[in-house]
Amino acid sequence: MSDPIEKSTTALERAKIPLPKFLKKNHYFGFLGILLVYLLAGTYSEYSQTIMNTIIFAIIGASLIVVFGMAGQLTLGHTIFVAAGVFLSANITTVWTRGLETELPIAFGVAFLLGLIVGFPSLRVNELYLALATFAVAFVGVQVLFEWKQFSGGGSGKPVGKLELFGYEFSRGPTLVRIALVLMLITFWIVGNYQDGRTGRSWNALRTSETAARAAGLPVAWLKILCFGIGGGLAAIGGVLYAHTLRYAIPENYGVSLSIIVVLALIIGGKHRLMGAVLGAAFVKWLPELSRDVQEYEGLIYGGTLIILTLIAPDGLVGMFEWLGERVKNLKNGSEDGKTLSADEGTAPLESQYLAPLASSEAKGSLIVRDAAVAFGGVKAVDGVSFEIPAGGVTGLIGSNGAGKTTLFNAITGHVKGATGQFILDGEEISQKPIHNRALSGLGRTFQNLNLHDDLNVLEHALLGLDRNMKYGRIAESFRMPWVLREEKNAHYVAAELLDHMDLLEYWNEKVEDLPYGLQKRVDVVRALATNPSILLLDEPAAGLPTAEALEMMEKVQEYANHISAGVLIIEHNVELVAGVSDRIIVLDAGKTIADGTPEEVTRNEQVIAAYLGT
Amino acid sequence: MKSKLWKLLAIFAVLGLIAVGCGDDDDSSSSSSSESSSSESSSSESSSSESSSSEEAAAEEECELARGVTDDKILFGSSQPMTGNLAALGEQAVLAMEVTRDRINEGGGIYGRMIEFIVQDDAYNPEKTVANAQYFIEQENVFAIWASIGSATLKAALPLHDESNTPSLFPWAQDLSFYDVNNHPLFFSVNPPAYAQTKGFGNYLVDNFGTDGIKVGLMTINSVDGEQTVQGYKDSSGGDLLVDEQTWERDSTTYGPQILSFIDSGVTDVYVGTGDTQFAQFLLEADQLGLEARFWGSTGTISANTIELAGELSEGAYGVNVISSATGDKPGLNAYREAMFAAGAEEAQISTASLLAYTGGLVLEEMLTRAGECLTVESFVAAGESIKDFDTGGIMRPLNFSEENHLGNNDVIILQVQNGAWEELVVGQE
Amino acid sequence: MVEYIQIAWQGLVSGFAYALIGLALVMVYKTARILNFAAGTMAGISGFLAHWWAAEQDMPFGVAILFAMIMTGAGTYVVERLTVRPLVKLGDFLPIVIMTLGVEEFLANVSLLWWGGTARRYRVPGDIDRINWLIGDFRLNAWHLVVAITTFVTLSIVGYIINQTELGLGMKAFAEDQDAAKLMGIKESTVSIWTWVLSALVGGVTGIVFAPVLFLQQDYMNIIFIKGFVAAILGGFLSLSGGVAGGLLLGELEAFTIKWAPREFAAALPVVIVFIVLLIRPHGLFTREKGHERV
Repeated sequence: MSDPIEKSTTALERAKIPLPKFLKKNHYFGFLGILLVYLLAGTYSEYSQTIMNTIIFAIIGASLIVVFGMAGQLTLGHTIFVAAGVFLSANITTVWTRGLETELPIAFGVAFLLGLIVGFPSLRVNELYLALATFAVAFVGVQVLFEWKQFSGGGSGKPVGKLELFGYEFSRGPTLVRIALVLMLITFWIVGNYQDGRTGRSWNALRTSETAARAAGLPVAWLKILCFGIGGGLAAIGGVLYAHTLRYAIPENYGVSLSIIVVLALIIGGKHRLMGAVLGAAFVKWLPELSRDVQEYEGLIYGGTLIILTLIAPDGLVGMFEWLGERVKNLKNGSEDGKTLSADEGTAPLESQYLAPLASSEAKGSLIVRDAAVAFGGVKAVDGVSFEIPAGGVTGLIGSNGAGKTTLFNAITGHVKGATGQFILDGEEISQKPIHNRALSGLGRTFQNLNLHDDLNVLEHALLGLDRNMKYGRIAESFRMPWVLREEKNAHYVAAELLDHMDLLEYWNEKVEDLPYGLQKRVDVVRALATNPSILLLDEPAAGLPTAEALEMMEKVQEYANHISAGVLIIEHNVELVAGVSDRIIVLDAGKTIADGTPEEVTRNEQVIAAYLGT
Repeated sequence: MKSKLWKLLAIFAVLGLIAVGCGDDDDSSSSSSSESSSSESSSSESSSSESSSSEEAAAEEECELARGVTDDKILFGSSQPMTGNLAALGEQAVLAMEVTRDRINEGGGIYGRMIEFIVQDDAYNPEKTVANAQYFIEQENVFAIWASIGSATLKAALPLHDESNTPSLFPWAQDLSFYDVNNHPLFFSVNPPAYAQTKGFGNYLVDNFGTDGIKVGLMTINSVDGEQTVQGYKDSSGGDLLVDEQTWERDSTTYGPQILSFIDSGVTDVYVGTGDTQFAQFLLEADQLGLEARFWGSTGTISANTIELAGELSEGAYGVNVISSATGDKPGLNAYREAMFAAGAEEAQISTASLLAYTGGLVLEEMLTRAGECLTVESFVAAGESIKDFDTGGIMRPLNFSEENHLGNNDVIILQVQNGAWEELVVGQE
Repeated sequence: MVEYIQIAWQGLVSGFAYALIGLALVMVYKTARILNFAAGTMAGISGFLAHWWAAEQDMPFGVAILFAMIMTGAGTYVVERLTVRPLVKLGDFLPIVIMTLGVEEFLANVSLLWWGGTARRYRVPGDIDRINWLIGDFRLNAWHLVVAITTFVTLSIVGYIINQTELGLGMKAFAEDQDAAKLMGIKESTVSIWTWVLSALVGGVTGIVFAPVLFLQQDYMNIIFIKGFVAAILGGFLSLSGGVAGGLLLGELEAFTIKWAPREFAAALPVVIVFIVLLIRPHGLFTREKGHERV
């Protein structure tokens, strides 16, 4: 690869961005923690039920991190997957008399498929309404169990058979705890791998802004359904263990209240971290255990603790510990901000080994718009606009407020419903495609009012954009295969160079919501650039910026667009700026094109002056 | 073989770290789990492997007391719904247990041993019941689990009781499977299964009201006991008269729809398998909607509180019980009420729930006494099986236990509310 | 025919409970974007208080209710200030939901320790809850009539407060646009607390008026709360009248489905119908979907 004698260090190295590794610090801590419980399980066997329940709820919590923590789907239907695991386990052990080797894959598989179905409402409804829709699913699920007597034993329930693995029978108690720990390790490993990989990043993106996630080319609908599938499958593993601790499966146990407890536990613990799942489970299972001596007041203590805990740790226990940890760190390190870049200048990003190959001499991004029209109610926001943009050009789109510029953009990218007309990108008709497929075809866009992903850092925004060009599959991702890491590493290098190009490198680890407005605008652009688009649609990239800063940014954008030979279509109020960068300007007024030509022609056009420039 | 596989798993789990340590640990755990299932004499502490054969021989002579039994006390555990919508039942059972404990202890205990018990809440959630059972058995080292409430919960916990050689005594749980002595040799009860109760009801109905024009509606809970309740009725001589089957859920707020259905099907007799509060509400709504029928309440409905809540509307309602009315006038019942009120019971807590726990306490006292000074699980079970014609002062008919039968009572008692009190009409068997 | 009217009336009576609780939930959610999981338990405690003052402290029926309502209002004021208020400035929805769950658990246990688990009868003057009139074949329970009247009076008062008073205007302003309302100089904290109190009073009325119907028992309002929640979402969580309409609709749905649906599906059918409605109208029946999403 790169010759070390040559001067360059990569942007990634200068910014000290850690590369993804097979094993991280968290992994070691996780292994040690689990090992500790593993070894102590025999010593504290009298607590094995409570330990078991904690592990089970930690596993279910981890599965909920997928659905709720990452993908942000507020579900009250999680109990249905647990129930699936429980009853499948009961049936497999008693009817087929098979052991865990059959129970686990079947439970995972069935719950995965079930999850794909249960996930469907999430395409239609959000937040509270989704909570209710999934509540309904869970409610119906319990009724089905009551009535499907062959499977569940009806109201009377069904016993769970022996605990076996490949024909070996195990006693319960500490042994079951150990089996559970191994399964917990696997579950956590998988969920952790998603958190580090492209799927987790995509889930985080869709949680924080669905619109932007679509624009970056993420298949949001599939991702949503998938999160229910994977979350459901993993929850069913918890269910299998639950069946073996309870040894008796009764439908009425798996009502909505179980879902609420599971969600509550995860929020208490911290919904974005695996540790949160553990702490949350520990909270709901050990508080009652520890208050056994004052059991009349158990509920009171539980409620009271919940109140106090929420007051002091509203972001969950993990959030509180992280905050404390940072405090301690700051005390130690004084005010060092650790953001300084290495003085070494390095190669110019565009010439670096990571961005150089993206250079293309073949101009892309010819866009044909024919008869584009969008109506809201009776108002025609865009009314029969047609134009053609040659490949590789920079085109300005101007017009007064309400002229339909952004709506036209949304029509092209698919972000507005009911748009008609034909859009052809590089000879490919994209009018009928969903948003993310248009993005995959080569549309990259930014947003007028900054659709960034709060909670995600700058680097992750760049990686999100790069997702379009990543190849590794989701199964490989869940097991952290070597090629996954290889691709991720490469993506990190590319992202760092890109950030460097846009002068964002030193902020790579900042959460976007903490950045000043001007930098946020750049992050938005970086995400679009990272998709390696054929044409870049910029919606008022300079709005709210001082002209100098805007010009500097535009220069960088143009430089990059030239580098990859992409076309640029830019909406802008600042006519000077548009005139400065564009080869050509299209003027919209009241949803119609009123002028189309070079900047000089357009600025002289009387109609334009009357409608727009004059005012 | 087992530990080998374990090592494999362990290696997989921790990538080969400290595989030796795991192996060691496995041995101790497998021995501790097997011993807890094989002998009642040792507590499940892993240190018990010390007991050598010579010690055992010595112990045989000086009597090795059962777990939870010392020279001055016998410890019990009880898992009860102390919160949630069955909390009233838990409170009533615990009160009756306290009455029993105080009675025995004030009389000097049994062979000088005082009765003690620990109550833990399970909110009618089997997961908690199982955790409670482990707590009782492995942490508190109780002798037996006493007077717990709930079929669904007991179903989950019973395997743990059985494996750890812990007797399950006099629960209010009515699932048929519990009464199989071969599967559950340590289960003792004075409460016949729900199945027997409805069968008895069906037979009584036909005997007393014939079959002409009789149409029966059943309303049962959509849970463990519910289906057996229906089956019991179907197997009775009135089984063919069943025209309408309805269920209710624990979180129902109204029985209007079920009542309307009963009106539609023109039933003359309705069996309501609920608790007292639900029965009272059912009577209220039946009156509002104009359902005119004979109402038959199940065991759970026979309490003073039914009459308190439903008032006039309860007049004439029948009850199908396994035990005399808690408010009846018999020596045993009077003693029960006197003791309950002395312990601070409210009128509403004079109920089947507390009376069943109380009666179980009477039998328990007898069992402990008969088991002799050397109290082991074997001697205790043998003592239980030897009880014949045990007099409860009229609360139940004389109780009989045997090796094949750990259900001392097989009564089906028909009651009716007359002048604001439950009166006994007939005592029979299924 | 009479049979249908009878079923409809029964459904309506259940619906009144769902509607009032739904209204109480929507009120707080709309103004402060807070989902109050303790609403059911708080309503139940109001019922217990009214009973306690009447039956155990020998107060006249009406005075006991008045006292219970005052206690409910004051209690809610304290609860909101102590638990919810410190979290509001974080601007996050979830911690507050968890907080109200904690409050729910706490209050339910206080109530259990105080009154025990045994159900009690809430006596009303003249035992009118036991009087049934026969109008043709239609049977009308006197207390159900009281329930209906109370519901209408409560709804009218709430309607008046929202449309005619300063508090109502503040609530509306916040429901429309939190930031704009703040700019207009309306104090968020004041509006929020009085919305909470008003909502708790509506809940309290529900708890008391349904006590003779459901009996006073451990957490008897919690199931009503869940139904009220379903109703509120059915109506669209941002519409007060939608919450009420959703409640009444849910009551009817339950009554008629259990009447006609096969027994196996009866319990689940209302929920399934609500589910389908949500899929067709993702923001509930009575809230319009926000135009197109601005991007």
